[in-house]
Amino acid sequence: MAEFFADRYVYFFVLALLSIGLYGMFAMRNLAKKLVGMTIFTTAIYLFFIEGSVKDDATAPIITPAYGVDATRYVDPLPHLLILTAIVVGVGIVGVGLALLVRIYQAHGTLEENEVVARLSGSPRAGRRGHALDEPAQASSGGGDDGDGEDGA
Amino acid sequence: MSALPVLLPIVPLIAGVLAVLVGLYRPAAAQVVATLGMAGALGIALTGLAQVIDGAPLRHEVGGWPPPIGIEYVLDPLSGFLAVVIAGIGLLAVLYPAKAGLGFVPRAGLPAYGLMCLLLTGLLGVVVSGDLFHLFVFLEIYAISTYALVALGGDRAVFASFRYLLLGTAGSGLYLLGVGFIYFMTGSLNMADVAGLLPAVADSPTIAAAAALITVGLGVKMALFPLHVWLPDAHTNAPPAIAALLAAVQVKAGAYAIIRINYGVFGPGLVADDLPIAELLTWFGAAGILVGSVMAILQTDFKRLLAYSTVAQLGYIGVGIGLANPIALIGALLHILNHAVMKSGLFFIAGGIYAQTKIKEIPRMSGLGRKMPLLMSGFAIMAVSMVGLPPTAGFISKFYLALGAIEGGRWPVAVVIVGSSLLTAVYFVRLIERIFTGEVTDPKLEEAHEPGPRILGPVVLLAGSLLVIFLANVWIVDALLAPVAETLLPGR
Repeated sequence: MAEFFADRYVYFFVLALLSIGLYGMFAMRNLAKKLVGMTIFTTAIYLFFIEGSVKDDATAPIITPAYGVDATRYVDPLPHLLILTAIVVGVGIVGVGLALLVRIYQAHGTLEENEVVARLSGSPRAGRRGHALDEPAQASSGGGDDGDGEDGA
Repeated sequence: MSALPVLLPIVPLIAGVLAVLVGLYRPAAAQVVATLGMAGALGIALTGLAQVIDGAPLRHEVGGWPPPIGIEYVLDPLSGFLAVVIAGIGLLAVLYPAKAGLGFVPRAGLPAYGLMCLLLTGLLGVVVSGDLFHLFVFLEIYAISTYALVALGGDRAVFASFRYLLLGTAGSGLYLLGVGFIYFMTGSLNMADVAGLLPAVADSPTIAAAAALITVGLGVKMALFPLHVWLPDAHTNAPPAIAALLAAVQVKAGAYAIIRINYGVFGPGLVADDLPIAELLTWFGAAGILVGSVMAILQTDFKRLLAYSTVAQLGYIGVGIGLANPIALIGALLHILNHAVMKSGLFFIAGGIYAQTKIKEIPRMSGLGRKMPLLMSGFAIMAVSMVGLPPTAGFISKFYLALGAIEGGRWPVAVVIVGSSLLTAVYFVRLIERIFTGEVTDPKLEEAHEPGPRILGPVVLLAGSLLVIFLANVWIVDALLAPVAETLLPGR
């Protein structure tokens, strides 16, 4: 039994991280913490791929004279490449997420989900903090691709 | 080897980059560049479809590396069909005037049209990708552009976009995890190669977990009930042209990926016979039809009604996929086309009404039929098609879906498909009655008149194509969809 867990401890670690990430995304009330949860969730997936490519008695996938062309002596490089791509994609998503957060904070002056929801569903004049809802907010300079204050609502 | 499959996503990508650069100096020119790019993509998609409709699939090996080592782009009749739908609706969406479509005219440096091209690049990439991981990258390309485009709709849209970003990333994360399971079991990522290697390991629980993770992940992308929670807010608050793109083609990319991976890679023997995945798709689809329709009846905001109706219509597509017989799959594929035409047209109409009158609440639309007879006639045809009455395209796809349910012996599902037409009729007939027979009550409507030809044009074209699809359905099914369904579900 102990061996079962010892052999697979990385997978339990990944599972724990996935759960923590999902908990952060869906149970936390603060939008920034949700984004942190999302980052933990995606990182757990990266770790799963990296763990999958691990091989005992093997070396980096660069052909060396000592090991020749015996494929079993080299770790599988493909998961690393996939995860490099996935990390780049993930950075893009976190970037867009942060840009949206900046925009939400400019409009509402808070990142607490229930306060934002209350301000969006209730009277826009109630409990005003930060910028007014009906005035164009300053466009965030970092992410020109998020909303730029063209308030259609 | 043919260059067509890879040109399909590359042409809109180049157009998107050019549109961003041109938009720095001449914002109005960005729309022209995007339109040209999408027209090019539509031309390529039509050429490709004509070549593969009764020939071998077109394949492109990126960088000359043959699969399974290299990445492969495949254009087969299923991809070609989806590519034509995506490029066609995409062309209309970028043609639609910016003031009505986005709610504002983009100023210099706001890359709205570049992002729309990037969204369409991602969607076209999903349908031509022959590699599981490559499909993930395209999923994320279109997802990132969607988050940014939804956020253009103002404060509510920004918040809706953030929620969508969290759920969408969770969905693609689950998909990626499932792809990882497949890779470590088979050592390959090429779809055709994996399909050949899977039967040897199909008994493994890892493969069952992979199928479940991939279907759930793509279910979020497709907004299949109960994973649809992001959709109503995002589609309601996004600008009309963006909402048209999202409802018409963006969610269909998820549906395509579910069909392609479940039936093309795992195979119907695994997902429909050994695992209850197809069964669950059917029942959740049926539940989505009912929930979406009932929620749509309760709405007073026009765009929100359309968003909930999208949830219901995606339920039909889920049912068609889940029934796992060729007739139902034909129905699902036909419904992908029909819903793309109807729902983009309805969002274009919503944009036209809002641009002319600033009205989005249904009660205030009373008497609109007298002020905008042409636009509202288009609305009437689309509403009839949504309900599923002849002589419109909606009748045909619902007919095939109901027939497929009876074929599969699922009487409750057949009852839901036919019965929910009544629910759809409740909200659309109520709208038609108010618009055409009601008196003008809102002072803003007194001065209202028909929108210009750039808004009317796409609406008339889409309404007309609903009638054309109804007439041409035998040809579409016989020449294109029946062979596709037979290939994906052989002998079922």
